[in-house]
Order: sequence, then C-alpha cells, then structure tokens
Amino acid sequence: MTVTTSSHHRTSPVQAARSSTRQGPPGGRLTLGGVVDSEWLKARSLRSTWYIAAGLVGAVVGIGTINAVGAVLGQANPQAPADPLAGALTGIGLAQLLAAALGILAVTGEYATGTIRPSLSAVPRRPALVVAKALVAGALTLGAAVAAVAASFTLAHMIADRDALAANATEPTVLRALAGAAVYLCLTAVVGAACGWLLRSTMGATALVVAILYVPGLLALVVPGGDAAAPYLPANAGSALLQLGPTTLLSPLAGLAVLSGYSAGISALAAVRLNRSDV
Amino acid sequence: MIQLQNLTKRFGRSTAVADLTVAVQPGAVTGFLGPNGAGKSTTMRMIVGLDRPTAGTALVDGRPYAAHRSPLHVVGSMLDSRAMHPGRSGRNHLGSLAATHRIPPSRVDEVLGVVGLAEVADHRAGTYSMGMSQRLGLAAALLGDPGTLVLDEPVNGLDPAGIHWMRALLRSLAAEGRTVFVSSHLMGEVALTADRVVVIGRGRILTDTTIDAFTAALETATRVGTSEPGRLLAAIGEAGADASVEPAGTLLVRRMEPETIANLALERQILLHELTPIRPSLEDAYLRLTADAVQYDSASVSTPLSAVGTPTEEQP
Repeated sequence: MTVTTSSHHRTSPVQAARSSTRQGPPGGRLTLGGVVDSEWLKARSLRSTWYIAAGLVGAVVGIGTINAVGAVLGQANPQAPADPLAGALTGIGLAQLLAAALGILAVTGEYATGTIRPSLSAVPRRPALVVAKALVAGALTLGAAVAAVAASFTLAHMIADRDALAANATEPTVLRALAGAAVYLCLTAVVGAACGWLLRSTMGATALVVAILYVPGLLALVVPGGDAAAPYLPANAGSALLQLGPTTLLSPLAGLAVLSGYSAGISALAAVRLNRSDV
Repeated sequence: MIQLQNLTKRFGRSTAVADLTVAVQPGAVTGFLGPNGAGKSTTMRMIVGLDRPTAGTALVDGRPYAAHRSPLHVVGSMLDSRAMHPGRSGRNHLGSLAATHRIPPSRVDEVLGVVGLAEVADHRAGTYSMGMSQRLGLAAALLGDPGTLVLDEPVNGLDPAGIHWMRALLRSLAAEGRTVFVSSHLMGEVALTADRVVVIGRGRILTDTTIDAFTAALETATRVGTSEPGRLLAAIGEAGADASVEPAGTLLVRRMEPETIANLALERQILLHELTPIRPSLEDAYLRLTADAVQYDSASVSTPLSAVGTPTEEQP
C-alpha cells in the first residue's frame, strides 16, 4: 500500500476540509429522536407539505361552511333534526384523501427523487425511518386536522345556529366526534405513509389507500355474512370515531382501537417490506 | 478500511457482482474501475447496506455498515449525485441528514463551505447544475467526518477546475489516513488520483494492485520503418523477438529494445528511417483488460501485446 502525499494541499477548500476534520467527530449517535427531527425538517422544508395541509384545512372548513349555509337556506323544512355538529365534519371525506396524500408523498417523494438512498445511508436501521415518517406525517396531519375541525365547527355554528354554539361545544359527544375526526385523519396519514413504503409510487400508493377505504365496504355488500364484518372495516371503524349517538357501528373507542390496529399492522408490513428489499 | 469477502449479488439470473474479495486500505485513494455495468455501483451499494448481498460480506472497520452506532461517522457515501429533492434547499438536504446523528448546523455550514456551495445553500436543489449537485453529494458524504469515503463517479459533471479540486480533496482525505474508495469508468482519471486500483469486469475482479505496478506491467513495443521490411522481419525472428507488419508498411516489434533493433539492422545493412518506442496508455491496458473480462480471473496485470495501438472503438 502506498501512501502518497499530494502536492495539491495548497488548495484552500481542501485546507478547510482538513482543519475541520481535526476537531473530532461532530454530532453523536444515530437515534430515533434524531431521525424524527430529520423527517420533520424534510416535511417542513417542502412547499407541497404546506399546500396539502392548507388544502386539508380548506376542505374541512369550506365544505363545512357550505353545508351550514345550505342548512340555513333549507330551514323551510323545520322537521329536519338539528345536527349538533352543524355539518362541520362534512368535509372529512375529502380531507381524508389529502391526509393520505401527506403520508404518501413523504415516502414516494423520496423514491421519485432518489433521496431515499442518502436517507437510508444515514439511517441503515430502516424500521426507524418507517416509524419516524409515520410519526411526523401523523403529527403534522393531526395539527392541521385539529385546527380544521375547530374552525369548521365554530364557523358552521356561527352561520347555522349561533345560539347552539356554546351549548354544543361543551357536549362530550360533540367534542369526542370532533377529536375523533382529527384522530381519524391523523391515522389516515399514517396508513398513507405505509402504502407509500409498500408500493413506492405515488399513483400506486394512492390507489391502494382508496382501495383500503372503499373496496372492503363494497365487498361486504355482496359477500355472505358481510354485514357482521362491516363495522370492522377500515372506513367504518373510522366513521365510528365521528359518530354522535349509538349506531350500528362500533363504539368510538372500539373504532379507535380497530383503526389503530390497521395503521400499526400496515406500518409493520411496510417496515418488513423495506427491510427486505434493495433500494 | 473496507473488507469485501466473497461478495456476490445476483438479480434473478444475472450476476452483478461475483465472489469479490478485496481489502480497501486506509491512507490511500483506491480507484474502483470497470466499464459501465461491471458491478461497481452495486458493490458500493452493498458496502453501505442499500443492497443486500446474495452471498458474502461487506465490512467497514470490521462490521457491517448498519451495525455501527453512528454510521455517518464511519462511512460517508455518494452513490447518486442527483439523489436530492429538487424542492428542498441544499442546506435543508444536508440538515435533514445531519439531524439523524444530531450533527450540529455549524457542521452543515462547514461542509457547504468545503465544497464551495455556501452562496447557493438556500437555493432549491432543483436549480443546481450537475456539478453543484455533485458537490452537494460530496458535502453529504463529508458531514459525519467519516474515516471511510465511498464515492461513485465523483468527478462526473464537474468542470476541469472542479475535477482538479476533487482530485486534490480526495488526495488530502487519504493523506489524513482515511479510506477513500472511488469508482470511475475512466482509467486516466483514476491514474491521476489513485494509489491503488481495483478493476472489475462483469462482476468479477480483474486486478487489484498499485497504480505503479499496473503501469510497470505494461509492455512496450517499437515501431520500425525500413525500406526492407521482409529482411528485417526475418532477422528479428531469428533473434527470437516478435514482429508484425503494420498496415502502413512499418513493423511493430516486441520483446526487443530499440537499441538492439538498430544494432541488428546495422549488422544486416538494413536502412531504418523510423524507430519509435510505443508505450500503450493505461487506458489501452485497461480497455484490453476489461474487454476480455471473462477470460481473466486472477489478480494479475496482463497486457496482451495486441493492446498496442489498438483503437478504442473496437472495445464494447
């Protein structure tokens, strides 16, 4: 082995490299907390993250408001039972797709741009990256969803039934439904991220999320005994979180448990898939 | 220190890397050469754990890369210079990698300065030129101040000044005692930078030696112009050397020094009007070596005589 001393050391950037490397290794160990910080920086440094989050808030508030206006205009029908949510959660159906998109793009954006290689080089213990992305996508969505739901509820009441706002806002079932909606969107983002890991492409992952949300419900209609399974399907378990009174759905807590189970399960599949494959 | 032991990678039926055993030493720049598709990138991906070996092991400082507590402090890698999100600034790209190991933002600034990107650090990476992307990739590799660097085609896309700068940087990193493993498909580039050279072709190791030994092993020939090629050819044959007639009518003589040829011609009263020593370029030797990849299994440098003057176009 030959160690050749170079005659090029005069170059100033090189000297900068050399002097900087004499101070011992910067930073510490690879930790899950560090990976979460890294993912949070990645998410907030992309404009698309904020566009989608704004879209999510806009969908919930916008559709909720339109619904409230419709309720005011439709007061020709006094028989219609008053909705204590004043239709504030009507936009959740659209918002869930945006929540899923937040999770999906956090993953598929890395595959599309090739960033996944430096990312996994920095975090070779791959399940940590799956966990960190799920946490960040979930937390970001939860934040946006809480703001969206609160704004939508307040606005809808101010439009439809100003007097009921104070009364409904302290009603435990109403609060539970609002919080449930935010948690539902948060878990949808987690599922989106997992679908991103499983399929690696934005289109594929989007299709998978839509399939998970809608296809089981359709199957339950045609498969014998589908009725019994229906409450446990992902979309229905999610709806259970939003319900106000007793329905044919699971209880809100059971719905939360089932939905969390799905999210954790598909995330575990994602970690296994990532761990096994080449990048 | 990188140790590859019987490293093998198969994708379905095709073998990308076959039974590679190499020790890449610290304190030197080791060039990793081979034609496109020879398995260089696959080998490098296995070193940092992006690809899983089908068989064999790739160890850095005695352990698989992923088994280190602080991987970025052990190996800095640049495997694809375009591997950055176009919507994210260079600073945030590095910052996100640094955060995983709690490397402070001051170190991000430092490496941005080292690669000369400080001024454009806050621009979106999508606006960077190929050369700037390459520098950002190198900055990422330097982040953790690693003892080993694994760089895939680091001079790609750099302008001449950038190439000169990169060579100097690689040499200085090696002079600091680091292991520097650099792939290239250009022999000339490696010859100017590397102390050692590992050549692979079709996933197999063709040679693993020092640049000096690689150069020394090149055989020379002599081009001889004469008015009597037939007589000289016979005389050289009698003297036990090889010669062949070139299309231009000159002779190409091997295993005989120019001085000996001149003496021989003088003895036989043959007029010479050209006597040119021809040393095959490293590039020729390398192309010859890799063109016959399947026939070469050993770690010996062998430069077939036909390499002399071989036009590069005939190589795959």
